[in-house]
Amino acid sequence: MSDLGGWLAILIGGMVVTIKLAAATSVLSIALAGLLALMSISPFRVLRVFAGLYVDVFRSIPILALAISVYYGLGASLHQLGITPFGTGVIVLTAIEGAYLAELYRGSLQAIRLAQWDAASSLGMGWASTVRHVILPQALPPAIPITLNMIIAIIKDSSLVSLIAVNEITLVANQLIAETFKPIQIYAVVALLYVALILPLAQVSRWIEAVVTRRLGLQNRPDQEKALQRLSIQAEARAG
Amino acid sequence: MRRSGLYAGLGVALILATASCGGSSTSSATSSIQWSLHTITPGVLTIATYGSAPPLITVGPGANDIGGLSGAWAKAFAADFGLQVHLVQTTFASTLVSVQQGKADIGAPVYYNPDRAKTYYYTYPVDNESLVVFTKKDFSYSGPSSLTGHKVGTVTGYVWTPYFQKFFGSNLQLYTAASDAKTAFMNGQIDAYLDADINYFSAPLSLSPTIALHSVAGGDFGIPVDLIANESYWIVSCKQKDLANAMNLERDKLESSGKWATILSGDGAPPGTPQNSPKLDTPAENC
Repeated sequence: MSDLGGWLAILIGGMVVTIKLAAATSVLSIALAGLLALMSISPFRVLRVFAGLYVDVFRSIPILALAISVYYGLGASLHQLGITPFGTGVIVLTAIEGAYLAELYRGSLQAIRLAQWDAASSLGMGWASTVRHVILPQALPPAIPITLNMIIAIIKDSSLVSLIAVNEITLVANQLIAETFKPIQIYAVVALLYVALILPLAQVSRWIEAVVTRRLGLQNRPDQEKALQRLSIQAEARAG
Repeated sequence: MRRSGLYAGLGVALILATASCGGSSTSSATSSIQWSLHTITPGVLTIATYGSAPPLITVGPGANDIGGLSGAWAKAFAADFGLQVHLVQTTFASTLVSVQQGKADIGAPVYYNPDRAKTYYYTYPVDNESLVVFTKKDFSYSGPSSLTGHKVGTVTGYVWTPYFQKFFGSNLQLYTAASDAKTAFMNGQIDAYLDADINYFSAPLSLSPTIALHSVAGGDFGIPVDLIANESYWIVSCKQKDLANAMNLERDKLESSGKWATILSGDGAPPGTPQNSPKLDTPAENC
């Protein structure tokens, strides 16, 4: 039991680094992905091509390969710029996770029916205004669970940067195993800590989704959809 | 299985015969042992390695090529016992666990400490090493306190690492392989690299005229004096004492035949290496 207490103290220290790493990466990935997704539906071809190219390239590179090549390959430059292993880890994870998330956000934005764009256009709204007032409010709620999934992936993927000397929980656990020779027990504690971190996120996600839906006045959307369907059927019947 | 058992038996007989001709005290003491040498995969000597650390050990370029002082010893052992060498190339920390969990028969040389001795038998030592601090020559090193506030690096799993963690806290950067830590050090990403002195005599540190090496005294960084200078030993699972003994007999044979001297001159450290061949003795067993 005293062993477990000692392990927990050490592993929680590593978990704090994991949380900081995941938090920084998540915020930056969401920002990057949002930007890339908007670029991908932009009226400017050059922006659409750039966003597509970025997503295709960075989705193709393994996180581990990018982390090692950036940290060791550009080591001297990173040092001159004052970028720590932690900073390198955030940059690498953001570059790749942002690409994945961008593609998911693009899907959310393009799931909004074209009629919405046409309606906005008929009201004289430009691209930016349409995105801001019509498309984003509808695309946002479905994007919340997607974003949560990516945050969970980021938390788990963050263990890969243990190979570039970021003292996150996996690296700390490996050192502990080298001292105690109890890999099963220690990795079991690590797994429980991950579960304890990730499970509440699902609840937080549901809460955020509910709040955002309520604030945007979309809580009755299923009923509205049904009403629209009824009207549509009646109109078709009249036309028939 | 049968053929490998036959080879192993023949190998033991060969070693015992050679060792007894050499007249060493060890061979006479062990000649009555009933041998039952088993390996994880019959006919194969599985070795967990943590990469190259010449002259102690080298791996590659082939997937199962091993060299250096300890590699030459293992290859001679495998040849005498009719075993094929298979390398499990992993990290330093995982080398320890691989042998403990029976994924490898022997693990590349590591230092002794009483806790590890509860898990492994140690063979005869391969070499003597000592903890040192590597810095760039323009770094003003005057003892452990001069590293305070600077980024320093070492390798996960070393016997010194827990002491460094206490001493340096968040300024310590842990690498999974010595080669990675050396690259970071050469890049300037860490101001000091903490490892054994033998690293001074192999690339990349040996190639740089800007590297300085500083000795460490007992008590520095809170490390007990008996852990500062240490010997590297092959490790064998506590369940495989016969394998450890057979490795030692092979070493006796290499010594008595003069082959060890050839290995030392061929694979040994370049002139100036502060290592000597240690006395052939096994440390206290805690299995």
